[in-house]
Amino acid sequence: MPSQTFESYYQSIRQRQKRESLLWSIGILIVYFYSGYLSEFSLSVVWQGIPHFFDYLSDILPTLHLPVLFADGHTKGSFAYWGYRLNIQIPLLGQTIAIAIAATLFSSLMATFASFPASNNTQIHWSLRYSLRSIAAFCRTMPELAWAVMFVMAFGVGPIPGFFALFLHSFGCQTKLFYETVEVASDKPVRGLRALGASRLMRMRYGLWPQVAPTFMSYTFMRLETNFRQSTILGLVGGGGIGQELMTSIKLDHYDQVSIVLIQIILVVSLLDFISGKLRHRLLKEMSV
Amino acid sequence: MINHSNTISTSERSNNERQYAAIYASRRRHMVITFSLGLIILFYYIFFFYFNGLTPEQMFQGLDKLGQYFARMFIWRNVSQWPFGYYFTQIAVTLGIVFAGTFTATLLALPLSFLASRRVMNTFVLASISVVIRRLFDIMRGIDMAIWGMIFIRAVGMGPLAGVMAIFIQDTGLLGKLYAESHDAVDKRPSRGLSALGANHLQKHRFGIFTQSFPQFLALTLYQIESNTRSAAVLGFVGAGGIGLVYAENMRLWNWDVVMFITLVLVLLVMLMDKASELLRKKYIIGEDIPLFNQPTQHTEK
Amino acid sequence: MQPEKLLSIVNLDKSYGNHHPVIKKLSMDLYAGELVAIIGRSGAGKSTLLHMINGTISTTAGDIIAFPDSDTPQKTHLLKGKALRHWRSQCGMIFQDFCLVPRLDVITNVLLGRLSDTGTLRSLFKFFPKKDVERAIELLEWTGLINHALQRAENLSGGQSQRVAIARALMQTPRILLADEPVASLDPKNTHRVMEALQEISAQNIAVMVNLHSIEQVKQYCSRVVGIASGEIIYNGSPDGLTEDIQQRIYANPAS
Ligand SMILES: Nc1ncnc2c1ncn2[C@@H]1O[C@H](COP(=O)(O)OP(=O)(O)OP(=O)(O)O)[C@@H](O)[C@H]1O
Ligand SMILES: [Mg+2]
Repeated sequence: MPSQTFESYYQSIRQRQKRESLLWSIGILIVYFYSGYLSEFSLSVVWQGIPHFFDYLSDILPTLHLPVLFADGHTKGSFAYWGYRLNIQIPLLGQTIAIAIAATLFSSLMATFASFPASNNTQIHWSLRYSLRSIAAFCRTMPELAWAVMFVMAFGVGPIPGFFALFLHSFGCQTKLFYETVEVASDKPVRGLRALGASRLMRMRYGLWPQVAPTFMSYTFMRLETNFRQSTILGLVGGGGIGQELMTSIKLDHYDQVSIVLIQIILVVSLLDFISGKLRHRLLKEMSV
Repeated sequence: MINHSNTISTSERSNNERQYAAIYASRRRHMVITFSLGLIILFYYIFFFYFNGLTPEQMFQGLDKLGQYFARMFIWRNVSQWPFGYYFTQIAVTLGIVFAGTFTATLLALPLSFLASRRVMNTFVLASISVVIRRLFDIMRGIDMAIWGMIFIRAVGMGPLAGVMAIFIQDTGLLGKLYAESHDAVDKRPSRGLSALGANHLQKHRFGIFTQSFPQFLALTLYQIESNTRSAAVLGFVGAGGIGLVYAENMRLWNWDVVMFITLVLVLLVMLMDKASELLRKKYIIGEDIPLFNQPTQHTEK
Repeated sequence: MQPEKLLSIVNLDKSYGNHHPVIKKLSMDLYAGELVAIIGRSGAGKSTLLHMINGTISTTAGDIIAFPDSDTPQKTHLLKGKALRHWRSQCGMIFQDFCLVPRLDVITNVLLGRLSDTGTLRSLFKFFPKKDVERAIELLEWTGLINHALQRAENLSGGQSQRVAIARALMQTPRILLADEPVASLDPKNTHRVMEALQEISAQNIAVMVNLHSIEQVKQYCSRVVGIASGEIIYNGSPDGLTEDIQQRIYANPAS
């Protein structure tokens, strides 16, 4: 047996670790620079672009004058002047929220039904499993805007195409997350239920569902936030909601309207974040599944 | 079947009576909740479709068109004349946008995440800084990538650079928040141990916190690269470069077969990235075996 | 009157894959109202036997015949689908690790025993009929768990969980109850309660078959004992006849 001192042992391990980190650093740097080359990204351009970005940010700031802050909508510099389109924007924002909620609920529901046959521990025939997985992969890889364009071409402009687009895209994402959750669920309750003569459906309903339901719910809440963000862009292609308004404002340089719409979006995202955090904690504790 | 009533005392019986009531109440509550939830959801969809709905005519026409689109997706024509070079270049550009954007975001988000962490920023002044940074993160990630893309097109012009910046901004917000959460979730004890050793602040955070949150950091970054690959396609729709442009062009021209092809390529690509990141995670998060120091040899040396 | 014969096992063989046989030519009967202990070394094939009766493990050769003296005897190892599920609902099974559903409350866990007799729609939404709820309450009272009825099963101790599992098995109104080491992880007090419960159940004209690791428990609670070594029956009879010599042979090292 070759004798080995602790020193040499330590050194050999250290050496290997060092060599590996060096290789990784070089590899990552190469990928990074090559990506930068492909995407025309360079720090110098960014450096030059940053002032423009801040110029733009300062452009979209509204002009508010302290003395006339609360004057009516015809006075330049008042809140009312800044928000003169709120009566149009807020219903659009509502529509966006409605689309997001509708798409999230429906996609989670469908993904729940799809995820059990799609996971490998429910004794479902592999052909069904793989077709479900492929459909889900396709749905989530097709960009939501592509879905939206397709549905707008079919159904015309409006929130319904937006709903379908968002639904299909998030169905794909949710199904994957859901079946991965089902696959790591414990087999014990299922064994217990099999021994007492429960059917396959009942083994899923009572053996697996109670274990995965809280996780499904968390994912649904997270998805709601994502879907709200994504539904703000559906309007770009005619899928309803606030996106149309935002795009027009950006393209036509209605600077102060850009900022007011962005503020509304950020407010709703924070609100959703807050509410879903609260709700999730309560439901996790109390939900009976 | 089993009769124990003669052995049960009165107080016990009244306790049981209460318990029955609680059980029945809980079952009733379950029914009420199930039904009302079902009804609420049903009514939500009824209203949603009622107010935004399509006429049956539009519906049928639309379904008919959709059928045509899907049919065309599966019949590939003139494949030999497709500009594959162009498609793959655009896919490569998308990947470039994703890597450049996400890596840059990581570089900025990591230091910022320490500034946003409640654990690190533990005095009053520092805590208020961390609140400001967290709000900044909220704004960055609250606005969709495509919107950032449109904004950056104003700043740096059309093209992939706007896309990189868009991903960079959104991911700085998202990763910053997630990194900060993982710093906050680590075990406190190593940090304390290190301050007992006389480590300074920076050393403490490097070894006490980051060593523990590193797996999280790696997993989140890998996941984000993968997820961005999927969502970066929207950037092209607004003119911020990449494969989205190909989508938009071909959908307008009714080339659904190309749309299908591109999507399949992306599916494959994401699958490959998924496998690669799984390998990386196995290696660096679960940890490789480091061979134990050879004990028998130690004995022979004695 | 002769007690009813509920199960008869004839020349049962079992081997996993190509390995050497785990159960060899095993034959035994099971009568209503008895509490039969199965004993043997670890790896003797006790769990395998119980699972084969319940139908969760397939047999290699031989017959397991349910209700052999009735008009409709069944070879349970040939059953499939609905018929198999029906047999399982008549043949309760209790696991060493309980196999309860952790997030559900205790009473729902007990009600799950009725799944095979509840309509699909009803059971999907957890709407169990009132008479089932009443019976579940009765069983929980009998097992002394009525106060825990609305707690989640994950919060119970081992002994409590095992009693819930017993209540769930009884909820099926089984003719046969199989228990795979039901007391292996319990303290003496809980062991006593569980074994006593099994004794009471067997007094209800149900055949109870239980895997045990302790000769004391066998002698204290059981009406018959079957000793298995390397898949063969060494002893089948009253616990009193379990002499030192027979115990030696049951627990002897198979290699020697
Ligand atoms: N799925 C399986 N595949 C292969 N061999 C198995 C399998 N299950 C059990 N065995 C083998 O069958 C033999 C009997 O196992 P069984 O679980 O029935 O023993 P047991 O008597 O219940 O032991 P214990 O008292 O430890 O529970 C053992 O040698 C075991 O290794
Ligand atoms: Mg066993």
